[in-house]
Amino acid sequence: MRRRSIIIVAAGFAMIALYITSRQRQKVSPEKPVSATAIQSKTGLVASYPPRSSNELGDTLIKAQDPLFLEQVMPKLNEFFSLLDGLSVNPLHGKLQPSSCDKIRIIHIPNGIICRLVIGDGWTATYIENSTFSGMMYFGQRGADDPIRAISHANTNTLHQLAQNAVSMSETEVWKIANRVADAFGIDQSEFEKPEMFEEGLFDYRLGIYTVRYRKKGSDPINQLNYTRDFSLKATSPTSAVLVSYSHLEATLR
Amino acid sequence: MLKDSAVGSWFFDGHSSQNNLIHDAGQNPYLTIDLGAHAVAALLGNSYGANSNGFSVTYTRRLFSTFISGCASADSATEFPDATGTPLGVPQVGNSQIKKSAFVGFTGFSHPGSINNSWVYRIHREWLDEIDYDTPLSLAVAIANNNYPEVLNWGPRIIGYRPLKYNGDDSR
Repeated sequence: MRRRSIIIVAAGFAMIALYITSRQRQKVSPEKPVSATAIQSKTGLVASYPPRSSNELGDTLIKAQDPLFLEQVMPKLNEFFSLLDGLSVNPLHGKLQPSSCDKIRIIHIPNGIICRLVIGDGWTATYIENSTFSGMMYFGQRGADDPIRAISHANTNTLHQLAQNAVSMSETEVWKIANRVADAFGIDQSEFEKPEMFEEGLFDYRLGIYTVRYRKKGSDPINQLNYTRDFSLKATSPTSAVLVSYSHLEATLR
Repeated sequence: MLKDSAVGSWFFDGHSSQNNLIHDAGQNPYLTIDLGAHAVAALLGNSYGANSNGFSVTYTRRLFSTFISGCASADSATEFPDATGTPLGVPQVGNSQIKKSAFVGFTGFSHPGSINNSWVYRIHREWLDEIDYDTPLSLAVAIANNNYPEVLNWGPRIIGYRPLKYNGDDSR
């Protein structure tokens, strides 16, 4: 397949500026490859964990055994999936294990962190912790069978396969589950316009995946950043579904 | 390069307004080159505008993604989304009849410099380069907004299909 590219107009200036900026950030960043891997536990025992490293943006790359992940992020991930279990919409089987988590990357933001990770082969999650919120920022599918990827690229082969296995659900049943999910995630409907619900699909392919999204009250409907909360439910029967996507994308000024 | 049909996505970093690029006589009187939205549309083989039936767009090539980091390229009167293939009046989320695309820009005045550059770099890093995470465009922008919240004052805006997932080999 032909390689396609992005045009970068004024690329020389922009790239020089970007690299200078990234180098400056690196100089002031406290994150450097860490060789010390021992920590003192409360019991006095010394535990060790895999070394950390960093990329050129100052993100910290860690393993699942790292205490930052185990003690700060993992409990919140478990909280998220326990909530899904309670609603009978968890797409993962069994309790999430650290060994299933890979490609863990910490982005340092003002007053907090964003943690990105891959779960098994088919899922990805993004956790955020700042001065006003801590919890799941995004959870969704990844890989060749990802329906959003298939829609994005109008991949009719994948869309055809997904549509063949799709289960339909009535709008009433979708709303029953969606309202329980919204309540469980603390989505305060008074802060949003009336939620929108639609079935994901492209052209004639219907995927049996129902997205519900919430736009901040009074905000511009064209700006997609104003839909700060959304989630998608994939029907597994006419009356049951699993959650296949979740977003909580609000950002606040310092 | 925009005329090359192999080009599916476009990032412009420089002065912009609702319907013009590059020109900035106010601050830099030596910059007198313009690249208007209609000229961009023509380079892509597209046209848009009012006719006897109202407003219409005709596309030969719709860009998969367009990103203009200058001022006001995404405000309510902008012509660039229409010119590049993400028409303002056509919802894409929940619309199964349109191939997906997205436009990213600011509604207000953006400021050149390290914040702008870092914000842009973070979006591209998350969306294009960190392929393991298969990142939707809206998440990449949200991460950048949290990383550089100063940018929120400039009015970042996504028009089109917000979950758009990039694929360097299939980007148009």
